[in-house]
Amino acid sequence: MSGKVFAALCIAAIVAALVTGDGAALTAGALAGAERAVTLSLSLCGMMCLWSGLLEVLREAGALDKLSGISAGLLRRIFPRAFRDPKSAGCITACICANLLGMGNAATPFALSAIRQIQSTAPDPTRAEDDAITLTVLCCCSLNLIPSTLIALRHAAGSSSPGEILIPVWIVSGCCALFGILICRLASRIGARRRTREVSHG
Amino acid sequence: MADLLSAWTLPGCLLLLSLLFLFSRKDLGGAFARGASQGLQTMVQVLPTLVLMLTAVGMFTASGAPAFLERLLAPVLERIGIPSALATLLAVRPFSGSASNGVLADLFAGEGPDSPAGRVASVLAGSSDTVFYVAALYCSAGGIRRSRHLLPVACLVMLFTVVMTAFVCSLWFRYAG
Repeated sequence: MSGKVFAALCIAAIVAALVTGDGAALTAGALAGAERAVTLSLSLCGMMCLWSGLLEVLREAGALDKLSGISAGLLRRIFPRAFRDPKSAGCITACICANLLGMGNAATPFALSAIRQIQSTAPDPTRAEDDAITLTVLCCCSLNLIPSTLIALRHAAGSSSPGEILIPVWIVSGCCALFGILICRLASRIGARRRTREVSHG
Repeated sequence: MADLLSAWTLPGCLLLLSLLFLFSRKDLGGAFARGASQGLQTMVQVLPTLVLMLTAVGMFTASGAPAFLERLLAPVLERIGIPSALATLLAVRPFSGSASNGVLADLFAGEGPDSPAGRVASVLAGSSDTVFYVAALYCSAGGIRRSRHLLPVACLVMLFTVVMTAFVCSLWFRYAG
């Protein structure tokens, strides 16, 4: 999948550069991007180790089960299959909490752990599980109670009230999250129906 | 108040970790090491995808492509009530967090963060994320080859976000802002 996205971006970039006639910018951009990948990985590595370690400690100490218990009622409806496995349930809960607490990039390790855990219990690990897709789509909706980067940018630009956009952001994010969950449900139900039809015909 | 919470989340978690280390009878040091090495393994799995994606995104943002996308999007945006100044942000947002932060900062510098365009841009930036980067990253971490309906749904949600932003902003900033 990332191959297709890469191809699309590359071809679009090359076509655009051919039109503007600026190949040097393309090269510079590609090299800068590759370099950024390494610096990003290094910082992500540190966070990854720290938060994955914390997650495992929380799980071992039983704190994750307690946390899952609190929000399980709601999350179990959203991730029905994944919540049957306590490990996945714990990871997903931690991921959602981390996102809501506005940890931003620091929430990525939790999300990655959750996806890994969901896929590891799947019958076919190379095929995305419904719940893994739902979680990814939710993360794309930027579920933040406090979008700190945004507020910081507004404050730096001299906004008279950086936080005035908070409530609209909550409303929009909430609606989009709900929409995302519903569409994911719909898509997996259509897919399941198509599969049973193939099985009964074939 | 909001800044306080974000500033203290990380120290709070580390405090929790310290308390658990001090007061739990289980081998939490071993648990931490296990978790951390698993995190490292995930990073190793993810690095190639990261290089691929960020190289492509770097090329994309450095070429004239976002400008073309912007020209394509501007008329559509006018129709649904989003200031055309946001076209670049929209073109870049699904691909790169840092690029979109840069575009947002430019927009604030140009139009002002409290202008109608600045507010709509803020709400848009706060409710969306870098769809393609996140999807690629998560799939590679999970070892997923067939992502099924992930990308189409994510793009659909992105579209919904844009429409919802226009709708909510037009109501909110007229009556409450």
